[in-house]
Amino acid sequence: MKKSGNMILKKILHMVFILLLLSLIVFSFIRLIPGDPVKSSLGPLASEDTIAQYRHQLYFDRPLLVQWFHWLTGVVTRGDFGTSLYTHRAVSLDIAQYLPKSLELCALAALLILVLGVFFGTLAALFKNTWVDNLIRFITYLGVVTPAYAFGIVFLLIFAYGKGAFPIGGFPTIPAEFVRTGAPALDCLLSGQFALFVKCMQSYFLPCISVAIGSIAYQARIHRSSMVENVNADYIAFAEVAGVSKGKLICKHLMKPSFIPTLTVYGLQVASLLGNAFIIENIFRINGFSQYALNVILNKDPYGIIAVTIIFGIIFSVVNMLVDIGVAMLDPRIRLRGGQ
Amino acid sequence: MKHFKKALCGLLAASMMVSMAACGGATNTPATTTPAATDSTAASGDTILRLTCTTTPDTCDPAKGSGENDDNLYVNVYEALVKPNTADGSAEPWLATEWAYDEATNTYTFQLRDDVVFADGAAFTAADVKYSMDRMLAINDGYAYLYTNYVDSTEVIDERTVAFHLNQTYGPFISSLEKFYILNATAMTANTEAAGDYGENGDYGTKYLLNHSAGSGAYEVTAFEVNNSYKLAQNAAWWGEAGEAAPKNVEMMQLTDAATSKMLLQSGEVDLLHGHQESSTVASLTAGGYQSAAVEEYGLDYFMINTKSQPTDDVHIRKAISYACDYDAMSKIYGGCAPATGPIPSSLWGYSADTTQFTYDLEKAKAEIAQSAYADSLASHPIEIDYIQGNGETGKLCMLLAEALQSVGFTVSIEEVPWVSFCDNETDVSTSPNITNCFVTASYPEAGSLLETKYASWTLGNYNQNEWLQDDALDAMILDALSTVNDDERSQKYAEIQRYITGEVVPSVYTFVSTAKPVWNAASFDWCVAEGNIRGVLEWNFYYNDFTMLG
Repeated sequence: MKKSGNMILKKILHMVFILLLLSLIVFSFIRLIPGDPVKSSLGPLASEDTIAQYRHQLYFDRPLLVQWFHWLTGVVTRGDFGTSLYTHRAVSLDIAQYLPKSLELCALAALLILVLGVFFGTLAALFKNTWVDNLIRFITYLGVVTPAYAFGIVFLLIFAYGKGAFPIGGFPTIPAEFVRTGAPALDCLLSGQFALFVKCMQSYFLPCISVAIGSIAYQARIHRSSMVENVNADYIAFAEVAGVSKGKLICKHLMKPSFIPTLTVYGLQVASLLGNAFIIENIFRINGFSQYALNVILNKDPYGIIAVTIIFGIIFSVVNMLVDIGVAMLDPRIRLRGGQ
Repeated sequence: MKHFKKALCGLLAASMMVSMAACGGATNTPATTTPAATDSTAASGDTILRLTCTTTPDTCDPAKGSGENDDNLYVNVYEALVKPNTADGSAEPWLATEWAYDEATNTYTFQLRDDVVFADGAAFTAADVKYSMDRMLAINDGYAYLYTNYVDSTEVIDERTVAFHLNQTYGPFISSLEKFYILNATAMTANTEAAGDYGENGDYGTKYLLNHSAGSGAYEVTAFEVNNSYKLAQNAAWWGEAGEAAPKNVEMMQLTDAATSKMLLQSGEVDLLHGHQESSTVASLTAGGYQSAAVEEYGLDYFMINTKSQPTDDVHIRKAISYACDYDAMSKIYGGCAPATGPIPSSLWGYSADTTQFTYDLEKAKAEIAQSAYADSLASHPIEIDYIQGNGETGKLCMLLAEALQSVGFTVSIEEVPWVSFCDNETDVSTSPNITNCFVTASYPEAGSLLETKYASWTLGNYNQNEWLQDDALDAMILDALSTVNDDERSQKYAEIQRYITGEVVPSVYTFVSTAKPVWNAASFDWCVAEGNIRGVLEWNFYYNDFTMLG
């Protein structure tokens, strides 16, 4: 237990160090981007006085380290990520507005990736080299090579526009009194608005499938390979000889070790979901964080870019930390090494 | 093991069957049927007009924005002292009943209406005008540039009389006031935070206006989500006459994906696609029974030629480029927009037809090249043409011009540049390409607005000017025209500038009039644009009180 605690503590400290370094690197890079973001933000007809005044207000006329330290102090003491040149308001407000919807989308997509990826991977492994395996292989190849936006548009055309089974993007209006976190489905659930919750889930269904389908396919391939590798291991043969039931053999002895590579890849897939969701958010009218990230980058919004990078960094680090913990739980050898 | 496998196999087969059933023949084919009236009724029974546009405003603050998307909101939520006549754009009374100009003191005095109230019921007075102008100048953003160099102070003479003291004569002052929207000073003061960038005025209510309105217009903002959507509701306290079947509510949503916009219109979830729609979108939707119209705006599509970089620093090269432009083909690419005949669209006050006209003639282009200093070295002086990323139709214009230029001996490259980089490149002459393509529209309905924005040296360094003229003679002419109060004299001076630009300098190629192509479901509402009797006057064609909801 103590070793596990040490491992988590070490990982958290490591994450903080990485994020600090990341913010400093991004600050430096932003200075190298050609053009004047302040001038771009204020528009073509802003006077030099206005530009100079705004630049001073944003600390852009100070040395890099002073600007970075000022920003860091704001983040740590007040949760203030600076002012966005793109939306002209506090970046923290932007994060509060855009992030919850995207996190909810990605969380649901992550669930789909895990469940369906493992399901299809297991099925393909158990029916190795049969028509089932071949069919899953074909579908997964299709899933891996087809970009998410293509699935998005096709799904929208067939299921939303054609069948009318799902809304053409967007979310139902959530009355202000029910808004707590900014994540529509969660807010409905917390407020006990189950009818609205169902509508939200309908709104999420197609974008979730679209954004997850490539990862489901990839996850299925990885899980299949891992299971096929383990099914030939000696300990499985011993377990069979020892009379372990088939269900227990698959679920405990085969699935558990096969999960280690699956989980490692899963962590990377989930962590990258947020960054890859911008086209899906655009197609399905989800005014989310991925679109915001793209916009701040295109608009060279310094504080927006830094905040987006840090948020992505945090999500990436946390997901990977959870995956490491999960892997350590599955494999005691890793747990023991990690605590040292 | 066998049972387990069978169960899994069955699950797989079931999921496949469900998928295939779901993918089966679509039951709904709206694109090929006549559009029906959409359900434009809210739960409350009120009518709703639903629109999409590619970008919504950042804030509801009329001192902050200066784009088409901002104007669309402002004209419905706020009101100004004057408004443009929808026939010719000239200023007519709105919140002001009349005005007078005192030449001796360079002062404009306005008499105000006495029956105007803001959305919260507060009476409109001269103090609101002064507050709004002082605030706009202090914030110095959006349309403030129209007034910062001219308005010295604003004086409240009495409750119904206000005076603007100018520090220099400014001919288009009345026209420019069409962009000066009046805020409810009482509501603003009550919602001002003490901490802010404007000294004793705190934040000047900028935070409040991030998602609230404080105007006297026909509508008020009821919900506003930055860069996503906003909702308007009819202002119950409005002093004007609400349209008999005007929409009670308006919902505008931001959407950049054309395919989704199209599906939303076809499925009846929106009534109107705002702004310019690509020709292919317009064609497919109108074939399905939806309506579209060409709404001319106060602007042009310009090929802006850098007069300071080689080889376009030679006027003969610039003339050759003007002759190499296939104007008819370009107009067709954009769906048949009206041709431009000079630097100013013919609908704009101050336009002159007495300009040098260029036509597509490659022989004349070759003759001009022969007269240029680069006649023998064209190959070693390549030309770069930039256009803004994401606008495929503009890219086609550039390709057409490039092909013609290559046929007369130029070496041409085309760059599709992200918007921010496009703007950044224009901040310095050394990073500005030889030619850019961009639409530029007037801020107020008068030639002076475009001439100043496009060619004056004091407005250099932005995407509106790739020409880098820095022509002292032209600067003096523009200044002189803008400071001329007499309309006839000012108009003559504008005409002289247009002659000079097209005859002597030739800094740009004028292709066609900027034209929006909105598409809408005519079964949902009647719109005066459908009858072709309105020009796209600074978003006044989207004055929702003029819409008539059907059904």
